[in-house]
Amino acid sequence: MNVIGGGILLLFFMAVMAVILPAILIWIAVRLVGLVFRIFGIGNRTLRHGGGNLMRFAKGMLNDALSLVSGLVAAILALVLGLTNILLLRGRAVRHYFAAVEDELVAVMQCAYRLILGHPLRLLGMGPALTNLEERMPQMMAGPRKFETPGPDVPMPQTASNTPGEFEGYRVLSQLPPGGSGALLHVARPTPEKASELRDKGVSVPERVVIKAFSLETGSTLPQIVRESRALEAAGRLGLVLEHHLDESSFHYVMPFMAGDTLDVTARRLHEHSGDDGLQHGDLQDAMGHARDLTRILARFHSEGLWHKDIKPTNLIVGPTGLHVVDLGLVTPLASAMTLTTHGTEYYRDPELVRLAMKGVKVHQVDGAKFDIYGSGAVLYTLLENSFPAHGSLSRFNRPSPKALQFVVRKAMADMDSRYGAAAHMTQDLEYLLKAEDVWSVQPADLPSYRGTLAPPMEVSHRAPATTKAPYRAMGGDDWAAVSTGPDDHGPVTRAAHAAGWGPPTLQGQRHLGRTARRRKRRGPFKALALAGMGLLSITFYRAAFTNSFHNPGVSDTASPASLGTSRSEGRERGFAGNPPDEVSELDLIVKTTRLSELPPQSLILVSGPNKASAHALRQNISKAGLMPVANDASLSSETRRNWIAGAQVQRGDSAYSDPAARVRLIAWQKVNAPELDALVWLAGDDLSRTEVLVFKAAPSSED
Amino acid sequence: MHDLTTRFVGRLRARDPQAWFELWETFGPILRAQLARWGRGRIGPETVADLSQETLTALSTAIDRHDPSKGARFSTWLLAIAKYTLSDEMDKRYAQKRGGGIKPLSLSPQDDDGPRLDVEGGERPDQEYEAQVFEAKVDAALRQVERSAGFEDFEAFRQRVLEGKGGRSVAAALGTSEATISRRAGRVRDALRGALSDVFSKYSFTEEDWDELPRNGLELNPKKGQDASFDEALAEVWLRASRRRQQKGRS
Repeated sequence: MNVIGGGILLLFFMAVMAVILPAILIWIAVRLVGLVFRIFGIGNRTLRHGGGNLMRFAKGMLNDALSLVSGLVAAILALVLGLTNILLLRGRAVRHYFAAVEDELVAVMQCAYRLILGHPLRLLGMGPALTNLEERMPQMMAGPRKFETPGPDVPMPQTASNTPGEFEGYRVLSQLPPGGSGALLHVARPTPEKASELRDKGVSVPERVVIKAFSLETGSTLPQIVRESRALEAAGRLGLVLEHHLDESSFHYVMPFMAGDTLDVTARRLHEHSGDDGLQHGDLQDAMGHARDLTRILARFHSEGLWHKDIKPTNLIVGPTGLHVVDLGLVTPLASAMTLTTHGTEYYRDPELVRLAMKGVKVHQVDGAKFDIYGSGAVLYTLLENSFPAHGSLSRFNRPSPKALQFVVRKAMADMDSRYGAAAHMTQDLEYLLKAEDVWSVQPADLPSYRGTLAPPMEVSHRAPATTKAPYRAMGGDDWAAVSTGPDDHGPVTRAAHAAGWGPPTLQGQRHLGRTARRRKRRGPFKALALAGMGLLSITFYRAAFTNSFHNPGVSDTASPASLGTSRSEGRERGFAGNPPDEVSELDLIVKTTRLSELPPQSLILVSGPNKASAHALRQNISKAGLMPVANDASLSSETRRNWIAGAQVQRGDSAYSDPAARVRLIAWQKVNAPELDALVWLAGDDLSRTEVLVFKAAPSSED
Repeated sequence: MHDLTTRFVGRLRARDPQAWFELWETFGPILRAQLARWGRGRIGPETVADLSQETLTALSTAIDRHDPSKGARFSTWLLAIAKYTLSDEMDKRYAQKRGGGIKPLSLSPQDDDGPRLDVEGGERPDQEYEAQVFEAKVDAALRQVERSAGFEDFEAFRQRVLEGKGGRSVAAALGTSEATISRRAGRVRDALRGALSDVFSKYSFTEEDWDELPRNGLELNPKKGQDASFDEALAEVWLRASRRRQQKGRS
């Protein structure tokens, strides 16, 4: 008996050694090859990649061989303990140890799979296919387990008012854990009648849906319901919501069910696969791809006038069809007139949001899209570090990652002014990195955002027609209306970028040139001359426009420096000179400017600035042009005039001229305290060329 | 006491939400960590989050009575409030259990009616806490400069000084010359010295608070050639703060 036992043990150890020894030999060989390359200065990237693959293979084989042995030993020990407990009649302990045996055996099987198939196939370059398979199989096997305690798989009675847990036209299958809002989340299947009804409305119906339900009877509050319901129409256009229902005491909406893992789980898996030295090769590409998908989806949100407001890894699902953004609990229309709230998740929420919310700023007075961009930067940080940005925008990178990618994170999490202007801009940087031959050698200065070669964000109507695409695919599949996530089609932005020659670098040497040198190289002498000529012309126009618009307002037709980014025709469209709409978006006015010359006669204007002499001179010119400076308006009481001037001064404070927060403060102050004002001229010291006009409301056109 | 301190405390007394936000943004994480440490095993993380909000509320009522010129360090003052809030909470819980209550600890050291916090509480500010408060002040100054400096300037400073990368490598990364990087980093360094002075003026009640700057190698009025040692000291503080935050976040 002992001999047989000894023989089995010997065989076992021989088998193990048969696995370990080759792994060690391969590892030594790889190190030797690496050494030879280093000695002879062979720096070929392909060889290094090959070497890296071999290293990973050897390391993986060794790790898994050791894990297999330790797993077997642990399983045997747990089995012995389990059997002992049977003899001791300790039922609970027996179950515990046998469960441990099962777990260990599963781990051993996984190790064996990787030793026999996983690592060798990855070494042969079949990693992506294998990863896909490995992700799908557990999902497929885990699928039924999710519904171990299914609800009644029969249609609910067709009642107009639903009791909690019953929804007309849906069969509830199970419940998901409730989120922070306290709503109940049900997984359900549409009945054939409901599916047909939805199809008739032009909506593709997924097999499973999630129903988020609020009920006053189950503890939901009215403000929760109001908050959740305010962005549903736009969310419907994005394919995020199939339908919703509201009655006296309850409210629910139906979303497509997204299968997959949350992004934090995905990040953990990627890092487990790559090891402690940061994400490598395929894993790094995957992480960049997820970040790119996220920014594309956000661009779509923003173009539909929506702000997600709670971008974080646990609200992002990575499924077989790509990345999906879930949880619409905080989705807010960008143009909402409501006051900002501090909702969101710490570490993924820009502290500036809290600051502005405490000031009582309205949603439409800030660029909410930029807060989503901050969140996506924090998410990319999490992907690269497998940890959250505990130090906000000052968070340190502790694991190796490409410096250009670190730059993208920082730019996304930078101060509002320096941050990416649009999610599409971040997408372009990520696209560039995804296409780079070697992402590690790309410098931040090569990125489109740094070079100033960003293609303009796509113009998408805020009132796009209802989508007829499948909601499930619309979130990340090939049919994604504006930004495809397909492997070859990189959407109109990227296509435009390629057409304009904004591809990733192909010449190694080009990376080492300075930015100016590279620009010069691209331009050529004739282009440079033409640009210089255009520059001179612009300066001439600039000076002329400045003199006319501020010293002789109402005379000039030339664009002034105070009309940066706003052409005359745009001004007409916005109602300053042509047929105006009833109200001009204040959001535009915070970031854009217009000319005094475009204001109608007798517009009431407050001049505010640190230099009294300049303010006095400008007031005189304003007065000559038929406009009305507050200081000259006899109809206003002296107290009102004093209060306004002092109020604007307080809001302006010591802020730098370009400080957008000060502009936001001014606008907010004017709305409450000086609604009669038509415009405010903010003087930047003596430098009148930097003077800005904040127009608070549309002036009636001359035709009115 | 510095004029700016008086003004800042004045703003707090006037319930200026911006001043409160600044205080919360800068010291909120430390208060949370400290309360979690004291309350370990007795209160959960969510209560700690609530408590740290309450701490600021307690501050807002206590600040009218408290005279910062009486000699307590800022960190001690902040800790006293936190301690008060926690003890109050614990007292409430015990009172609920026993059906009676005990008098909460007195907030003001001058108030003879109640026990003195720093004595009775037995929880004096320890070295780690003091270090955290110092790092939080440096952090606030860095954020202030990050907001005001241009992105490219701060990026040059971050890579060159905070991350300690070579001038050539940073120049290549940002597509410019080493001289430009040096100039940008210098600009941010100067701005940071100003911001440090500003932040320490707000959150320092005593000379001891101020002495922490030179003690940690952050000389605000440098002699020629002291920039390198300032940079090294700053990078050290930043690294320490980053690690501590990461650990705190995990725990």
